[in-house]
Amino acid sequence: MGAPDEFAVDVPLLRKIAHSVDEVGKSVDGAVGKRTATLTLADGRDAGWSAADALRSGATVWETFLSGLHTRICGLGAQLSEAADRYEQADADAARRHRMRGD
Amino acid sequence: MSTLTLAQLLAADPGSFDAAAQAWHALSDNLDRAGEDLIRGTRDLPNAWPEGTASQGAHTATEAARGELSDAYNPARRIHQALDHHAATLASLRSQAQGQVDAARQGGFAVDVGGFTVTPPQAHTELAAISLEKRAQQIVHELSDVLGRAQALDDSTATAINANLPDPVTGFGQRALPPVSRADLVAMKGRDPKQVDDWWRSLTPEQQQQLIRDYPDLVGSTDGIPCLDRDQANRLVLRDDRTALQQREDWIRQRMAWLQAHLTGGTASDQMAHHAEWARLNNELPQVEAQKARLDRLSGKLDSMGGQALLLGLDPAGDGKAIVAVGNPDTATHTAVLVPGVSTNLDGMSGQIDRANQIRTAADRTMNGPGQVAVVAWLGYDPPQMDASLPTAVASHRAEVGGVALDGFVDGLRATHGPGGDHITAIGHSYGSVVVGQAASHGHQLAVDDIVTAGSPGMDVDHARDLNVGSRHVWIGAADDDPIGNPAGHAGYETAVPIVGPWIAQAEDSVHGPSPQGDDFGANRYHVDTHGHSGYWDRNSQSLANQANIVTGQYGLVTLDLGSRP
Repeated sequence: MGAPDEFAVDVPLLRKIAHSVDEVGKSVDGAVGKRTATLTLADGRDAGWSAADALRSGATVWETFLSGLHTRICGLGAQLSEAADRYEQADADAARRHRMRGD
Repeated sequence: MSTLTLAQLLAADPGSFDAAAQAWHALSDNLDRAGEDLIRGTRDLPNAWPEGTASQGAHTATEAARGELSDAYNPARRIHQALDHHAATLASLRSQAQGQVDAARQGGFAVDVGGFTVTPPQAHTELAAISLEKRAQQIVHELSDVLGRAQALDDSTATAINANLPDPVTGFGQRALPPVSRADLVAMKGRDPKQVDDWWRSLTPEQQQQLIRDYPDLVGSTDGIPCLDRDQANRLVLRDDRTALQQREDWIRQRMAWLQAHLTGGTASDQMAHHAEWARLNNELPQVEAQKARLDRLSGKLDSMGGQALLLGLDPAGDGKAIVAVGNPDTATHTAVLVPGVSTNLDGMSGQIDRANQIRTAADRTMNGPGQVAVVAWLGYDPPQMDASLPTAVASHRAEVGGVALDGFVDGLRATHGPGGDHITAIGHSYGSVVVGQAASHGHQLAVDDIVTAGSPGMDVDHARDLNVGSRHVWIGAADDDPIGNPAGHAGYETAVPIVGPWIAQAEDSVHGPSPQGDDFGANRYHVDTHGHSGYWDRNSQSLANQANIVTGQYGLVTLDLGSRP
C-alpha cells in the first residue's frame, strides 16, 4: 500500500468497507469449513462410478480454490483496514504538527 | 467411458449423491450471497478512498474479488444440477434394475448380478426350454438397456463435474478450458435428449462454442441441444457445404478445360482416358450446380425470414433433409411440428417454411401478442419422391424410420424448452401423417399434446386412441375433393399419378390402416373449407384457422364436423 495521497479519504467509511470485505471472506471460509465434508461422497457404495471419482477429485480442487479465495478476500479486507489505520495515523500526526507550530 | 457393472448399479446409494447435491446447492447459494455482499459492501469504496496512486491496487483487487465470486457461482450451480439429476435418475434406474432382477427370480430364473448372467429354470419340454431361454435373453437385454442408461448418466455427470473445476491459480476468470472431444459429442448423440440437455448445460459457454465451431454437423443434428445453438451450428454446415460445392465446381471447370485442350494430344490411351474423365465430369457438373443452387435457395429463404427462422437440421445428401423453425421453440408457449409428405425434398423446403409461417401467423392472431408460437417445418426424414421411389408411398418403411426421428426430435424440444408453457402439436400432411402415426404408436410415445392431420391416407393405427394422446386430442381434416385424404377419393390417384396411380390407389385403401376420416376411427374431424390436397394452409381459410386454434390450445374455437372438444 502506498503513502497517503492528496485526495480526501473518509477513514470511518473505509474502515466499514474493510470490515464488510472481511466478513465476506469469512463467509467463504465458512462455506468451505461447513461444506467440505459433504461436497464429496463418503467412502461406501459408489465403487465403479466415474462420477464419484470425478466428484472426489473435483471437491479437492474446489476446496483449494475456495481456500485461496478466502485468503485473497480476507487479505483485501486487511489491506483496506491497514490503509484506514495509516490515514488515521497521518491525520493524527498532522494535527500534532499543527499544535507544535502553534497554528 | 463408464465401465459400471450391474452389481455396482444395484449397490449404488442415490442418497449420498443427493446429499452431495444439496451441499453444492448450499455452496452455490453461499457464493451468490457472498458476491452480492461484496458488491454492496464495497460500493462506496470510490467515495471512501478516491482512486489514485495509493488506492489503485485496492480498487483492482476489489474488482478481481467481485469477479472471482461471480465467476464461481455458475460452475458450482452446474455441479449441483448435475448431481441432483444424477441422484434422481440413479434412484429410478436402480429401482428398475432391481425390479427386473426380482421379477426374474420370482419367475424361477437364476440371476447372477456379478457375472451378469441369467439362467432359465429347468424345463420339462424342449419347446418350453426354448421359450425360457428366449425369455432369459430378453431379461439380459432389458437389464443391459438399464445398465447402458446408467453408464450414460455416469459419463454425463463426470463430464459436468470435470467441466466446472476452477484452475488452482486463476480460478475461473482466465482459465484455458479443456476442449471437448468429438468422441464426447458422438457418445451423446442418440441418448435421451434430457441427458443431452443436462450435459450441454454443464459445459461452459466457451466449450459450447468450441463444439459448435469444431463439429457443427454433430451439434446441429443432436436432439437435446438448445435450438439457438443448433441454428448456429447448422448455418455453419450450410456455409461449409456451399463452399465445398463451389470449390468442387471450380475444380471441375478447370479440369474440364484442361482435358478439352488435351483431348487430341498424347497417346491413344491418353486420349481415351481424357475423354472418359471429361464425360464423367460433364455428368457431375450439373449435379453439383443443382446441389449448390438448392443450398442457395435455402440460404436465401432463411435470410428473407430475418431472425425469425432457426435452422435446426440440415443434411444435403440425397434428396436432402432440413428442419426449420419459424420462431424459437425453446421459448414459445405453443409449438407445432409440420411433417410434410410425398415429394417433399430440400428443393421444396421454401414452400414448407411458407406453410409453417402461415400457421404461425394465424396462430399469433389468436394470442395476446406475437412471439408465443413457433412452427417447425420438419423434413427430418426421407419422403417418397415422384420418381422410382414413389411406390414406397404405399409402404410404411420410410414412415417407420421417420417416426423414430420425429419422436427423438420432439423429445429434444421438450428437453430444451425453458420455463413456462410447453404445448406441442404434431401436424401431419399426407404421408407425413403416417410418420406422425408411427412416431405416436408402435412402441413409441410422441411427446405431443395434440395431433392434427391434413389429407391423411391413414396413420398405421386402427383407432385414434392408439396414438396415445387421447382421442379428443386427435384432429383430422380432409377436403372433399382431396384424392388422398378422402376415403372415397383414393381412386383419384388413377388420374393424379401416371402409370402406378391405380396400383397406389388400391394399396392406399388398406396399407396405412383405416382412414382417420372415418366415423369409427374415433378422432375429431375439423371443418375444412379448402380444396385439393395442398390447400389446407390457404390464407384466411377455416382450415388454417382451425389448425391455428388447435396449435394454441383454444379448442373451443375449433369448428367440428364430427367429435367433441377436450
